[in-house]
Amino acid sequence: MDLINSTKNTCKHVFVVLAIFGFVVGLASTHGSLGLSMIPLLIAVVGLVGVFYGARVGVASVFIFVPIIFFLLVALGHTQKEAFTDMIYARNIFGFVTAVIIGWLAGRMHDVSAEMAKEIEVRKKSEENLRILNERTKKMARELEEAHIKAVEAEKFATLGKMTASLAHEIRNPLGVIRLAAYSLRKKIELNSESERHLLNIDSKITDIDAIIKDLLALSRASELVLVESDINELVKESLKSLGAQIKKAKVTVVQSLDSKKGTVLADQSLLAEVFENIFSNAIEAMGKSKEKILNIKTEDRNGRVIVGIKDTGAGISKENLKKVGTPFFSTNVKGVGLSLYVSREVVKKHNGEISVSSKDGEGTVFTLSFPINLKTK
Amino acid sequence: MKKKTILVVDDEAGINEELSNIFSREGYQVLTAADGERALEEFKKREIDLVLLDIKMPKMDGVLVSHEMREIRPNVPVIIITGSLGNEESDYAVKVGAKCTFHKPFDVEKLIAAVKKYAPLDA
Repeated sequence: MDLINSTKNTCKHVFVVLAIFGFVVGLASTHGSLGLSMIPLLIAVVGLVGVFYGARVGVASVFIFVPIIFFLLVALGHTQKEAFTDMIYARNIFGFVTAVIIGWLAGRMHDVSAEMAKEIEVRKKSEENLRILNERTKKMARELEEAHIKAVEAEKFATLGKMTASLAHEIRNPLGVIRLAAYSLRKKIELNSESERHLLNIDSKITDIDAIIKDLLALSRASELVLVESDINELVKESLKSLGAQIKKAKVTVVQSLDSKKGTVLADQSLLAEVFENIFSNAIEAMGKSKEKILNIKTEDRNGRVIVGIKDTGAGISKENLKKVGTPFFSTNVKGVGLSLYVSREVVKKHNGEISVSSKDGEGTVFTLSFPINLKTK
Repeated sequence: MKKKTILVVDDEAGINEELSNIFSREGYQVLTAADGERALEEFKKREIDLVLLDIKMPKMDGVLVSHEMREIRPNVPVIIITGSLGNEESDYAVKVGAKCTFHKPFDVEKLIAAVKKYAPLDA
């Protein structure tokens, strides 16, 4: 293609030069006896037309330029006979035929080049279409793979959810009986006796088992969120209310700085309230031995997200342990089994939220949660 | 003065037995039923002041039992006691008339307080 184009361009230049040369020679021949004619001019002009407009137009142009040159010669002072002889007759019949052939050849060059350009364009387009098709197929395959993984995961979660819910029910019923029985026994024995301590121990362990069941249920429910437009401040308040007794017992001061003008979020309210409850409860426990016990909760609107900052004045988390926070079954708390923060992280992730933790040994811990603002209602 | 009567309905015999002991000690007369149908029979026969009702039970579930009881005597308070968490059925039961829900293993003191609130002993 490049070769054809460069030949075509060279021809254009050659024909332009030839046209000028032909015109000069033609003019000279009309005034003297050089024995030359306007035929070179005709050949050059026809060639040029051919190069630019193709073979048909090139050949056709011979029949347009012949009368034009004929009248030009007449205008320049030749008799009609002389002009006729110059253009058609005798010695120049060969030139005339040459002009037709040159017009056709030059035109073919244009035509072939145009056809090839068209073919290359078509090929390029086909290749592009093929590339797009290939990419689409790959994308579809990827999406299908992802959808398959998600479906398998969802199915696993759904099965796990059903199993957990059913198991939870089966465990909580006898657990309820044990608690009621322990309560009844406590009512029958002396206060502060050794037996009462044992019974209180039983009661406390029932609470722990129940907390584990709640975490497992929350984890299984995280696959089927019931999202409603929610005010994070209300969920924070609700969680604090649930922890009222624990806060009072631990003598923790709660400082709330809740931005009432921030946007709402789409949330599974009971699950997210549990997340806050988990984090608040951990913070309260972390402040067990602290002199100053302040739980600082702040909500704000930042860059299209609702940010919840939870800061305690507890023992803090060592650098080594900080990396493990939120991994299943990791806990520094003697009471916990290390599921609650893992569950919280999973629930937050399912809300398209983020959770991060920063802490220094002995300087308290800061949890930061962020959720996208529900744009429809902002 | 006539004792207030509580009907405890749960398919877990241990729950019925323990709640029966606890509320008897508190000064109530306690009746128990192991399923919804028997609960309704008792409810029709006796004068009941409050019902402690489980949700998941054989034969007839708690939501339906609660509904039937409301049809018979709408003023009798019903408190749901369930082993499920975040249970839509118990939420529904509360929405359509039950006073509140307690999730097993619930805090006994809180349940006693709620029962005393809706069926006061001295009234």
